[in-house]
Amino acid sequence: MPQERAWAKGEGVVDPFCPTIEPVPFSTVCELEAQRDDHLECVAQMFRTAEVFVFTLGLTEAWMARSDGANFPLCPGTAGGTYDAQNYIFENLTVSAVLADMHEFIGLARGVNPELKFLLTVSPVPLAATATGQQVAVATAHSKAVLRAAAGELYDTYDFVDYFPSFEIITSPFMQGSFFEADWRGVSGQGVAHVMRQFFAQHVPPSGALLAGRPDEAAEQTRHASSVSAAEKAEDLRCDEELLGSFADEEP
Amino acid sequence: MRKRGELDPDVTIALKRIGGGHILPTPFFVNEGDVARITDPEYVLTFRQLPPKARRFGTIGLSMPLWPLRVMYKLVGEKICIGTGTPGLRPMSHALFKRMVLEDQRYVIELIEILNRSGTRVLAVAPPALFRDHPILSFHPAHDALRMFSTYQEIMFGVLERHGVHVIKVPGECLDAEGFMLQKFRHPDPEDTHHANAAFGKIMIREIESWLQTRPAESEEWIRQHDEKRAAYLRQQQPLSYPGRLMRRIKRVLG
Repeated sequence: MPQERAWAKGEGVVDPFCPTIEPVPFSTVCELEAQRDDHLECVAQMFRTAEVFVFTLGLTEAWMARSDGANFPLCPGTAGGTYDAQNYIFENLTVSAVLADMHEFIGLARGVNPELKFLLTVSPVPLAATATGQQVAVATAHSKAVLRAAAGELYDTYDFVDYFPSFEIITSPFMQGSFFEADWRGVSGQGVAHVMRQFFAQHVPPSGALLAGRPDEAAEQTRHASSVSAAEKAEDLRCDEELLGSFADEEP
Repeated sequence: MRKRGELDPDVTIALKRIGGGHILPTPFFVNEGDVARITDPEYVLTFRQLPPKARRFGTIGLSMPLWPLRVMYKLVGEKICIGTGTPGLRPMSHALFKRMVLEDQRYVIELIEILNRSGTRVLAVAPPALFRDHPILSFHPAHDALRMFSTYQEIMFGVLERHGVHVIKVPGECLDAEGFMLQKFRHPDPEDTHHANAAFGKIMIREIESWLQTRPAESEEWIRQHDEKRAAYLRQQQPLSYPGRLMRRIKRVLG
């Protein structure tokens, strides 16, 4: 369990491990922890029941707590908390460090769900900034090369790990950058659609019969949502009747 | 009430239902600066524009800013609560709930800004609270449903206050100790667990009347303040100045 549980931001607190997930900070640590517990329970449930885990490798630059090695997605002090060089250390992960983390992660996940398969991709989105001191384009090329090399080695190592080349589809020179937004960072909707078309051409979605056999919990949720929706529609109908009644009541 | 002499003869109150609340989170009007031209086919049956062109009202009361059930149904359908520690339900942060409320009321808030600019004072009139047998309570714990209802309204009270809108709340005499509507205010149709009856309507009209009596809409101070606000807005929005609006209207007539 990481030691850092909440970062102060403004008059509230944020989760150090997803500090920008909410539009504004939580009011209290209690509220934050209730949200996090629920989120982690959903994540655990996902690992217990998933057939394929799609993992996009995105960054090699990381900020770690010196006390316990906890890894933060953003530098402490940028989206919450306070930066203190005594407490945090910057690390740009190497191929061997990424591989060590991934081997451990895959082992843990398959310990929970032995049939779990992995589909790896590498994010085509370039870095917006770097803490390495290098020019950001140089840092981007290094980071993507590390992640792509790690993904390739994992694919070669495990027969239950696949690699999907969305990174190459978007960034290859013959695409001439046509799938990037005007800021040359974000991938356009057209680019995403093209990637997904290629993906589904090779990975046929489950048929209706397979979807019908979803776990009871999901089926119960669908029934619940339908019942609530029906109640809301009935209420709208009452409003319509009231409205028609009001026209009927009006003096000529 | 007027015919029976139950209203102050100096106060005129007209009641109009604009239509279904499910339309409110959609762009149901075109913003023409100090006029909202109604475009929704259902709402336009009642009003072509707000404020109404045919008759000038010093104050327009709206119940639309204070009806939380659209958002509540969404959350209840997904088994989400806004408190913590309710078994079987997923918690939602206050900040995200507030975001949903403001998104739900986005066009209503814009309408209030238009009415303010037009020099019409806006009043928010609370709709009935939940009746104890409201259908949503068969899907969701009552304590959390009440909390959603009151939190939604509290968020909107803050928004309304910032827009200078006074709120006529449901008087305590209509509610039980927990905050549910008393059964004596149920709609005559026993199947209707949503609307209240004429007795409740009378109470709310009296509340409005007594507030209007103490704060006449046509006071010189009020008119001066709004004339200043309107003039400042028109200065900022050159495309919406009178010639611009005139041209737009001509084009609309021709087109």
